[in-house]
Amino acid sequence: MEADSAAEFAVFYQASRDRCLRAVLASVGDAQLAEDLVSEGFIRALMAWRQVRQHPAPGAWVVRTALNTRISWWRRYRREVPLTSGDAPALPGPEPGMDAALLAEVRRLPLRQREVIALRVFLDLDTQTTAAVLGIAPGTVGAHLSQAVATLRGHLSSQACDNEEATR
Amino acid sequence: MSDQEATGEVLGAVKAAVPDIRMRTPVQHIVSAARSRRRRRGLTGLAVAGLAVATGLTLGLSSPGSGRSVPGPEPDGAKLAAWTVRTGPGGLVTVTMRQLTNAAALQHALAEHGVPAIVHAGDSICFQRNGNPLPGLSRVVTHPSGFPIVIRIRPAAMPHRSELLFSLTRISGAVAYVGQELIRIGAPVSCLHPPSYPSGRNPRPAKG
Repeated sequence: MEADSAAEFAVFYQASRDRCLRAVLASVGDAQLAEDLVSEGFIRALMAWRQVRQHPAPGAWVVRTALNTRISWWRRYRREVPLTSGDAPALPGPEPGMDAALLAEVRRLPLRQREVIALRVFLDLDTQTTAAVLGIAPGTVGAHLSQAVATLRGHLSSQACDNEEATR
Repeated sequence: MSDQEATGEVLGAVKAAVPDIRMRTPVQHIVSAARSRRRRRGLTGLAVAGLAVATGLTLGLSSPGSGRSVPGPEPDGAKLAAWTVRTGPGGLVTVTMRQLTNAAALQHALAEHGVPAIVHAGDSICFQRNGNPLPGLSRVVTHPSGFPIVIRIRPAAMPHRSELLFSLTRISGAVAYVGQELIRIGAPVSCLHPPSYPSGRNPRPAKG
């Protein structure tokens, strides 16, 4: 039984880790932070594996946990010694091949819209499953998706205009 | 262009905006961390302890941390790729941290340099469970700002039968926060952990 669970989790990890990483990276924009958050999501998934394995989309559970972790990660800390301005370690630049401008727009979306984008785009969940995972109505998923697409489309349009002007 | 086509175009652009990166964390690291937390919580149920061996067999991967360079002690101190511990004039011990890796080895290195300490690394912070920590922390530890993180420790200033409790975490792979307390050796320690997980068929994703 334990060996079966171990094998099951290992296969799940191997199959879904990269997709989860990309989904979270789209939301946080920092590859190292995304890796940390997704690792945390998988650790928690393993700790609750008996429940998570029955989840309709365990990868989505990991992604949502990672995004929730990001929000509240630092709230738990006490007595931290904050770095003064200018002392913070330099954040790495965007990953090669990353459209930093578009992902910055994604990060400006409200959390629920980002969750819908992450689940629909990177985990390929359909509307019904996305709704089940988020605990909202399918129609609400559609509304969030429409709003997110409208916002991002505006960015893409202005970017296209800028490119057009630059080539004149 | 229809709404469906427009949506597909935007979602395609978002998908293409993220590079084809891959997780580098081995499954053993996940298993090890889960096992460690479970042990601290004293939970029963799914025996995570057995998973390390089983997952290793399943994926045929090497042990956690394999391949990481861990050179032996240098003449003037212990050194790892991510941090160094050195003893200077007057017995001042200086810890320089660039990355947060191998906390157990750091704890061992501190002990070798005469600093009894508990080094906790992860996403939680530890503190003495009951009562107040010992006074005098500022005389024992100084922590100038800057990066890499530098912690200077005067072991001679530590009260009798005391130890330091460090909680380290990281941002973007680099050590960025240090929580520290001076406690009596053997004092009960608590760490703030993520909340327990709901049971049920479709558990809610954990919140921080």
